[in-house]
Amino acid sequence: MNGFTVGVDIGYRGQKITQSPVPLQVLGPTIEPYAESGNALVGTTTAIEFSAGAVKLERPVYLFPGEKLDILLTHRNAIPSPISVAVTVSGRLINQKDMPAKRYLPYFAAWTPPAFATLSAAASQVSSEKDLANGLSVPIEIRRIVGKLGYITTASGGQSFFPEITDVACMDWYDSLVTVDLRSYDGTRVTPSTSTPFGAAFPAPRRSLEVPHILRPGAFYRAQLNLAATVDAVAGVIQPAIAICGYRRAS
Amino acid sequence: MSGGPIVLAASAALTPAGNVAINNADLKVDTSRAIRIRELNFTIQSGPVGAKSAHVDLGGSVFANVKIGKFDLTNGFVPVWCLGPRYSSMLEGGSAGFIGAGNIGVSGAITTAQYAYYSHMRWIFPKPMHTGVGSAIRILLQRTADMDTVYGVNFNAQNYTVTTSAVAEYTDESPDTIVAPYAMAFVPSLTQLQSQEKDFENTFKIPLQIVRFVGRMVASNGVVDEWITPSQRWTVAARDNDGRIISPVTEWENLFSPDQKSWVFNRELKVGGSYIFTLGALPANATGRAHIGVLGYRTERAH
Repeated sequence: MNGFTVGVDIGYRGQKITQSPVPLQVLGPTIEPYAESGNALVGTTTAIEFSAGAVKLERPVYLFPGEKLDILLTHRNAIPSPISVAVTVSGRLINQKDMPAKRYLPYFAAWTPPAFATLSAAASQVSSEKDLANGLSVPIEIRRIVGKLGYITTASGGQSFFPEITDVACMDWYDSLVTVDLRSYDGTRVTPSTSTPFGAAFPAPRRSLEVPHILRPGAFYRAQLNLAATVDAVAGVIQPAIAICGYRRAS
Repeated sequence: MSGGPIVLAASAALTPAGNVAINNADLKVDTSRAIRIRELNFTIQSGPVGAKSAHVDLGGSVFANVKIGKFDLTNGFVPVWCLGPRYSSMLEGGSAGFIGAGNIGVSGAITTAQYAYYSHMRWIFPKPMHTGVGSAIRILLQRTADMDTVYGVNFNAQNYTVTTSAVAEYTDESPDTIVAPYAMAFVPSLTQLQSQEKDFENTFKIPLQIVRFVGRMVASNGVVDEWITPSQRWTVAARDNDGRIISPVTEWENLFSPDQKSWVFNRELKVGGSYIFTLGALPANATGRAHIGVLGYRTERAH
């Protein structure tokens, strides 16, 4: 299993931190790829799929006494089983007089198109102007654009499971099966061609384009993903997702 | 703050003991605005092979000679795994992925004998490098001939596919100076135990800021496995060309940390200065070789 199975919607004092539910997998760069998709055997026959990840905020969120983050988790129905999720927020105590005058809130917006379910036929997915967009009324300082491919097998006794640890590297192969055309709203190219391999646009190991820049209100990125048909009999689907991650001034 | 991201990417096939130039047209700044390059990424994919192992690293068998615009970024060919610290041993050191005809079965188990090895390397520039409109990243690749059969895999029968991508940002600035990264490498023969001055020499007319040394270990039968070599019993020492010791004789793992294979240095190398590394002899029953890289940057006039 990996973080594509769960979406998260985060808010703070009525302000959006996520534009819409974002798969946990694309909240940040890959820190340790083999922790993002795991498999623990229980007894001799039962496997528990798990994943673990961390999102390090480069600019902290300040919570006053009594305040909280509003976190809504969504089972994305990629697997039929119930999922347990543990969320931990770590920080430190701070005196109010040490509170900085300028405070920021993170912002995440993701595009999670329908999975490529039939790998024997070419297919395309195109994002809309609302997916990878600055949906706020203030500029966003984009810190990274994260792009990841998830894989779901469908050959596990009728169940759908993500690959186990030893198969994570299979994603390298999908990197060349899926190509991406990424442009900003004014047509400026991010990727050099309409068919840049996904793995070249979002290089391993971090799968993260770390180029800070400003995205003004209403601006957006447009992505098109193309799946090249393969004759190989692959018992699974490919779930892509792209996210923009940044900060804006807290109101 | 930059003017937004841009990625340049290109691939090339690399035969055993072969040479290839990555397509210049794909790595050219063919836009109306200049860019600043932040990092170069290399993904090396082997051809389909008959077995898999978690210990194969292709980053030492592919050497890159890199030039951006008029600026040399390497002093000749440098092993790509010496272009930065190791970020992820599992991903870099032999991810065995599925390729070609075959099936992925229950829980992703690969049921046919079709695998490819993938290795990922990342060269983060110490500072973004301004690259003007029309300039190109020129990358020549060279592959060693010593990747012998390892764990039942005959790499010499396979071509590699090397994909390079440059992560950059648009810019409207026109700076007077350009910060150009620079990499040098010492790739000794089996019997060579000391680098020469020219290996790590500042041949520019300006000082070089050295950021880090990278030390990688090579098995005798190919650049594959950092665990089977007796690195902890291998000694290394370093001095500059004035005879000053920068590292006394110490065990390899003390100088190049086991996780990142890297020694953060942060010191200026004067014009004409150099570093010389001396390796201890390996135990009689051991085989192996060193790859030592130096990473830094210099500030050049733009025009």
